[in-house]
Amino acid sequence: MSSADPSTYPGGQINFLYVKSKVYIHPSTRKQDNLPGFLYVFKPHPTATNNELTLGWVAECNVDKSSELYRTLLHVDSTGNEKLARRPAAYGSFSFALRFMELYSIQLRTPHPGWWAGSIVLNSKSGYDNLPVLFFHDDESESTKKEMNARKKNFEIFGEDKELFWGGSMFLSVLKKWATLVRTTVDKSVYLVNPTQDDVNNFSPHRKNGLSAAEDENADKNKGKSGSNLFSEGVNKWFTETKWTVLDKFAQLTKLTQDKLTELNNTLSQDPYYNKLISHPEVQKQLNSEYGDMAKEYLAHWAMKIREQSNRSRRIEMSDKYRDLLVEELGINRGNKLISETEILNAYEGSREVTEQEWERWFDSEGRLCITVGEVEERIFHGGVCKEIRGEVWLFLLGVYDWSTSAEDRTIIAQTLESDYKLLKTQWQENQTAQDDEYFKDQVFRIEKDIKRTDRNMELYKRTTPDEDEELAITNPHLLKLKDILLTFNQFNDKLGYVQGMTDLLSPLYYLYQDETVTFWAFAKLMDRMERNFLHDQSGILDQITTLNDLVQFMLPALYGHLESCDSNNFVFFFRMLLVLFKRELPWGTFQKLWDILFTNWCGSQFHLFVILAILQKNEWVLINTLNEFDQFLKFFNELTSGYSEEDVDEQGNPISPEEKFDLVDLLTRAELLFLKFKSMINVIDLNTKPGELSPISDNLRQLLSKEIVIKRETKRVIG
Amino acid sequence: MSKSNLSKYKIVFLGEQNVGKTSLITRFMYDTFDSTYAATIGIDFLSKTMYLDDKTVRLQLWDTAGQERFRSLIPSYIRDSHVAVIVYDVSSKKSFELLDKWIEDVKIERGENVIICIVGNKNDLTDERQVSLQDGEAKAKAHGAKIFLETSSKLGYNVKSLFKKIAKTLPEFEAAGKSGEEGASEMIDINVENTTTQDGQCQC
Ligand SMILES: Nc1nc2c(ncn2[C@@H]2O[C@H](COP(=O)(O)OP(=O)(O)O)[C@@H](O)[C@H]2O)c(=O)[nH]1
Ligand SMILES: [Mg+2]
Repeated sequence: MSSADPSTYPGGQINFLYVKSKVYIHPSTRKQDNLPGFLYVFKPHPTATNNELTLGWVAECNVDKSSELYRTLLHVDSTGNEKLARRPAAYGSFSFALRFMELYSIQLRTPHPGWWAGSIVLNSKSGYDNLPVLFFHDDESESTKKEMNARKKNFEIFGEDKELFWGGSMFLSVLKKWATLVRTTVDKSVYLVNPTQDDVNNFSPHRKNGLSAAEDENADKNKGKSGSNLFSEGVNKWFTETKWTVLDKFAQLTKLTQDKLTELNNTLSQDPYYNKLISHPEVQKQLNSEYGDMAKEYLAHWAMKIREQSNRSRRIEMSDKYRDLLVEELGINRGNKLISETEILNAYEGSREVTEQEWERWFDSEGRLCITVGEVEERIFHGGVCKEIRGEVWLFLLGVYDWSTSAEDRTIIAQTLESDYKLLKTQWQENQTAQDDEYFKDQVFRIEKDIKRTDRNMELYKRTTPDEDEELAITNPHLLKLKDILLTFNQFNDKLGYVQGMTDLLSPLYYLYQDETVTFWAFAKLMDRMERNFLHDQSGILDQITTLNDLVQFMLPALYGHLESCDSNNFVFFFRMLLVLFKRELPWGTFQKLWDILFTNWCGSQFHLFVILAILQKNEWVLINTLNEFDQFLKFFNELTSGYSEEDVDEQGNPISPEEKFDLVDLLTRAELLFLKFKSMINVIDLNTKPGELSPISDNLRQLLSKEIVIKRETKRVIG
Repeated sequence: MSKSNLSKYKIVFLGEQNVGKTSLITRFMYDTFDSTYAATIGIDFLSKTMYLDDKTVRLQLWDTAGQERFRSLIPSYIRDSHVAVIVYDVSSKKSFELLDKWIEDVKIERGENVIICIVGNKNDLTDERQVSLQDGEAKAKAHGAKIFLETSSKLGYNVKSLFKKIAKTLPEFEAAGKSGEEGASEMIDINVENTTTQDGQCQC
């Protein structure tokens, strides 16, 4: 092995990060052949990436008991602290060492105390080298026993894999520090190490060959049961937990004509959820009251909600069913070949966050990206990123840093940005004439009014003292920074001026960085993409509404026809979602994840329109069958996420239960499939359009395929 | 006709940004005031049932964004409205001057088929007042507004009165009492503030 890296540990040593003694190899079934040894992880040199960490095993008999190495191994095992030593021999019987990047999967076989010890099976990517099965003799390992006792005291008897705690599960939780482990759905005992999307797909249930039909059927039965349990839980929850009275809610419903209502009831009578709901004694009471009609209407909405809930819970377990449901609902079944099998799988499986380790692995030791930009975008698009790395990732996605830069380049860029920002800021801050300008004063007034009421539920932005009077002056230092950033932005972009909604875009960025300069540049880049939303003539927003109109007409013609007949096809009800990219509709953690995905431009720079399309597609039935006035549609979309309260966030600003309110994963799966379907439909149409013939596809629609962000700027300064 | 056949009325709230439209609605709906409530962008929609004179009506309240450039959206919301509540801030002369523009927008869209209601909010800000009660009344008269009131959503002053007066102008109640007039004796679930001694002080 050549060690080109100049930075090495002293004396050619390596750094042991993890050691476990009494890990055995069982060369035969005879007990006396069992070979005890050390399982270890080491870092070969100080700058090694996680990928270069090495996992190995060496037999006890191959380590000299009087050596430094032996003492080090015992020390690391018992204390858990890392320590330097010479590299162990890799030549003894069964010894092996391989780098993390060569690891493919780990299988955990849990122990049955008294019968057999738990073991792990390692598989390398090459698949050639047969690595020995490693047995954890927990009863002989002092460090494992210590941990077990500690856990017993705290009643945490379950390990990383949700099975009883043992040496193998302990190993797994250690590994997670350096590698991404994904448990496969096919075999719950198998974890993929730093898998690619393809690896994950290969282990998803749709590709399985091994299971017999009988097993499948059994599985379905059980799952059906949990679905209906959830349903009755839902009904009971309705009566026990909700605080409002039934009547009050009924009164909020819109009146339908008698005909519509009969029609609705006929449709609903086929619906098992609705029937179950309606047979509940409490519901019966309401139905027989004078508010019966309204009650029915209300129940229709309720049945939809419950159905959605149980669909969701089923999706987690019954993935085949969910997939079939999607394929059928979206009309993309295998027959018409609009979307390939792999694409469906990618969209469906793609809900894994990029972890810190995974992100680090994409960069070499100089901090330069070592996979392609396309791979990065595709990966982030399928699942977003974890919050620890979000700030850094956005700087790349938004274009503050180019993907081709090295860590050193970025340090230099950051310095330039710092001084550029300072310069811009002094232009107004140290210029009294500029500050006396009427336009400037009006801007300060508008900005102050809005930052005082932006995300004030977040810890960061709360009042410094509870009884402080903000009519006089803002004192929270973070709000003051927001103000400075916005005023400096006016210096940077001297045409646009502050428009309501801009604080909603700025505040999440500041929250991530809590640094004025970095936030400013991230915001400036975000505004490239968003400026068209804030133009004085509203043309950028109207462009998007027009495109959405074309898109719905093209993709969901039945729904479009219904909206049109109700004079409601102007789609203004999506105004707010468009303006600030779902920031107001979704709880904090959820919209951030959505932004991760949108910022990749992987499915075009206007993928947010497909997210809206997915909302429409998902609710198509309710929209067509129960609503028929503009006001009703508006109310429906306004209330899609209204169950969410702004207090539902924890200290870090993460929603307490985002999934309850707005199932983003489901919507994104649908949105991606709709995008792919759209793309292939355009292809088919193009193939069938003769040269010279006018294409039926509008330019608006075609632009949806482009990854270039749409930039439209204010041309002159307008007040107001 | 059964009771379930509730009439619904659409009420739009208009006026410059920051005059207190959202706060008025929030005060009426939830009887709270929160100065950190997010600025309205786009449109918000709330509805509430009101019981009055043994009758029940459902009010749909449409809250709009005040910033000038979002105004192009508003016509589609004003459409079909029964009542337009146009709000200014008594501590902002500018918001008062811009009333004319809002009233014009409403008239263009709805002609005379709408009840116009003018509200001078934030009347708790006595020291900062820039628009007098008399000026407000005069403007209301000039534009043929059926209702004029000064309110404070912060203190809850005159807010219930405002909605009661609005309800009274609706066809349901026209027979019962003349619009715009106090009719305290018929109110069932709402206490009337004493609007005759408008001294800006509130009992709460
Ligand atoms: N002092 C005072 N402040 C108010 C009153 N009503 C609203 N505000 C404040 O004025 C600002 C704007 O209110 P908001 O309801 O959002 O106005 P909108 O833009 O018209 O919807 C907020 O900071 C409110 O706290 C009031 O009656 N008195
Ligand atoms: Mg508002």
